[in-house]
Amino acid sequence: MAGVAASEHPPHPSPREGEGGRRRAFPPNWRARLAFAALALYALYAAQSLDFTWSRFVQGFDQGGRFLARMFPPNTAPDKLHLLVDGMMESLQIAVLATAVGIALSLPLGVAAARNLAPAPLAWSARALIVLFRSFHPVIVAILFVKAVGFGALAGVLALIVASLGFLSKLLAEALEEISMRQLEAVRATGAPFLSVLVFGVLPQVLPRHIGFCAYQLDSNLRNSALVGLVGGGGIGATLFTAFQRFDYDFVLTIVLAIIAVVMLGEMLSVCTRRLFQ
Amino acid sequence: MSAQPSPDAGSRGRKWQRFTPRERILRSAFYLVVVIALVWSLRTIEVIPEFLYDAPAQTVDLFARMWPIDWSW
Repeated sequence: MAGVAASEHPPHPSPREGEGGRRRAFPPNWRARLAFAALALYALYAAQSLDFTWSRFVQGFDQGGRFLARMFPPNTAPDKLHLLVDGMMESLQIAVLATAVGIALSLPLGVAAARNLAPAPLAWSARALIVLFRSFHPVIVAILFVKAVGFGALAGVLALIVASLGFLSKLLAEALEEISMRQLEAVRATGAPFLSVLVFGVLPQVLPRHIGFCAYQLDSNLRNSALVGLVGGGGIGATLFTAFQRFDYDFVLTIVLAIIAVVMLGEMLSVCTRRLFQ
Repeated sequence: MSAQPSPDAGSRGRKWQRFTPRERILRSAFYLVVVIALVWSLRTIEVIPEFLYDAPAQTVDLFARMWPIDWSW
């Protein structure tokens, strides 16, 4: 059969056909093999230069076990719980305020950054501002704000406002650039001023998506409000840091469990919000 | 066809409603929760006034210390 087929069709060697008509389904890729070998060699070199040794690993296991043993059972003494509740309330306040101010400011910034709604110079400068807000992690922004406005919740709120503003206005601008311009033209044709065009032509098209982003940002701010506390931004992060430095590992476990519970609650809340508005 | 109002009902008797009563209640409850959370946060958040008065001076100090970039690092 193979011979007949070969005589019927003109000889046309496929790229996968080797010499003598033998096919190799998976030809060896020597370049990839060399790259993987180099990667393995580099990993060995890096482990050696970072002092990654087996004995240290075993020792670490031992210490990790002791650390875990000191964490259990979680500390639920009344005075500790009082500290926990205070810190958690402050974290919630930070997250709520940062999200609210971030949403309020992201609306004009997002509209200014949308290239189909704003004139080009405004859109590009708004985009530059968004890039600036997004270029640093909230913790680094929090360090700057702690220096500027001192220790405490205000620095955390300001840092998370910057983070929320970057995230929300970028996503809003991208949602705005995808809207259908027909509804806009219809509203414009009635002689509506720009604000009415925004409210009746643009907002209905992006609002459900934006509410989803805002719910996600609240969730994210809840998590990050624990983080900014580590560098002096107030909230539960400050409590966690103090407990860790005092070797109160059992209280550390209580705080960690509480943070997990609050983050899960926030996630549930954000899912409910999204379902309500979509 | 049956969804259309009978011709004698007239346009004055029709009332269009976008959301079901359940949706309206849930949305109002959501807005209420948002307002309560905001007011509670604004009223109880701890801001240390001394740090706030000092903020402009500290910010100026921060940028003054930043300025001549130390390339030698």
